[in-house]
Amino acid sequence: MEKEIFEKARTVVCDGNKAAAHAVRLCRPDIISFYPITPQTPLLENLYGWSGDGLMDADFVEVEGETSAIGVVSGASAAGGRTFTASSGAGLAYMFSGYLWPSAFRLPVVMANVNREQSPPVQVAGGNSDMMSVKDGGWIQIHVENCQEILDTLIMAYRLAEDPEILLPVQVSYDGFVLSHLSQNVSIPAQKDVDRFLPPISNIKRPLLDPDLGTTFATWVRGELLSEFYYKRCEAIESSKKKIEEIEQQFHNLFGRSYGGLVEEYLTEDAEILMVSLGSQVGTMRVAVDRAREKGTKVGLVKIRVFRPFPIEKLAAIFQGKKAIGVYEKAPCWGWNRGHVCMEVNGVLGESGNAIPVVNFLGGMGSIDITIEEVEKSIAVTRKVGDGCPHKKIYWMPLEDTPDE
Amino acid sequence: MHFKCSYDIPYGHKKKIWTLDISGMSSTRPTINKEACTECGTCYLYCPTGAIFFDDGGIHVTFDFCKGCGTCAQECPTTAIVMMEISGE
Repeated sequence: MEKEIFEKARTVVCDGNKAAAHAVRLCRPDIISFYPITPQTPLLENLYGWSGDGLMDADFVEVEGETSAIGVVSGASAAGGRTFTASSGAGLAYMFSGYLWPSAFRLPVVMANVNREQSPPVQVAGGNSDMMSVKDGGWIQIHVENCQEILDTLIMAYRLAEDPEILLPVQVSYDGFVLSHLSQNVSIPAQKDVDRFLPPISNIKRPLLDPDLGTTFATWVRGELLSEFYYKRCEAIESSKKKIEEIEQQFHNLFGRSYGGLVEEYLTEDAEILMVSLGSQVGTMRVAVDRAREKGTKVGLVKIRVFRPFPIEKLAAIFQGKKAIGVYEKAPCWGWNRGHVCMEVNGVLGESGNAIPVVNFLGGMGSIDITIEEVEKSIAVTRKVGDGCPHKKIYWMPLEDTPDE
Repeated sequence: MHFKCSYDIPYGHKKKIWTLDISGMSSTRPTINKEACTECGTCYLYCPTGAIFFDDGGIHVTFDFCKGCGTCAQECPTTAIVMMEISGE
């Protein structure tokens, strides 16, 4: 394919991995290093293929494992380059010790996580337990619903990470197999438009490795300085909430698409009960919410797009005055006997002083289907909870015979 | 809020880095038998802290960085290096 045709705006039918690869290509990274792991491998193969055909100018560093991949990418970012890496499931676990570095040293690394169930027990199946297991890594974490959003969010991620006021690593997560391997309509922007949106990385001023000055990113720090480094990092992560919304507005002005910033609301204004979720199942839940509305249940849907930093203020405002909240998610939080999102929603309600009953639904683990009927059942249970009926705190949807009717 | 560091991350350059003084931590030091030493450079390659130097005058150890780990003595093919206990000081 000719490079000029490749760089034009066009609409294609492609899967999530290819959409992510297109986004990375458009952002012109300097160094790419990652290790293949299903379901992320086709993303790597696309990038290698285009580079081999002369359609892309990145340098690739082949490594023997994810620990090295994140090391290469952190070092390249510290030297001033724009980088990309990606992983999944057990690969993310193997990467974890290096995963902690970009946040501590404020390196604008961008990575894609293709959500796969964490091992053990090993399975090649989609799920959220891997992205939840690294939620404390200090990265900005955004979860997306469809293939178009993968592409758009990755482009915005580079802009967010490299902003001189932010300088934090950003992880864009999308569900493995459901999004990574199934195809949807994706509108790919033109290279020149993305160049306008995303300036080259060498424009920004930040601490860099410099052989002449003999600079170093200290691995060892005196204990008395730790509090201030932690505080400064917390402040930066907090300030990214506003920046995400600004960047999305600019993206909307140029490309015509936006996703609500930190949180996307669907029919929440006059809703009496709310369903809260994140990731690809939100698409299914929209249909279930529409059906429940036709039957007379006033239900709304809240999609948490940015998981870290958690959008506490936005959610507290949306939850105000509702009768019940049903949190539908995929990953259990060990030790809390709830899912991760439910635990955090409880935190929001506690902080804002709202005493609203919350009911948790766990489903979709190990790539089993979250069907519209299952979501409708959970909406029915949430409605009962809103009417004051006694209820369990958590329903394991694949295991329950029938939730309380 | 009062901060001691002007950077947001632990970062510095040559003149402002605080280096840890390792030499005070070791209880043994390598001694090199010049007659047995063939200057093959194995100890220089293996030293984890880069405390061994290899120049025209032969093999030297700089005690600023020597941790006393004994790897050089372990790896020397002619057993020219012996780790001696430090006493006194």
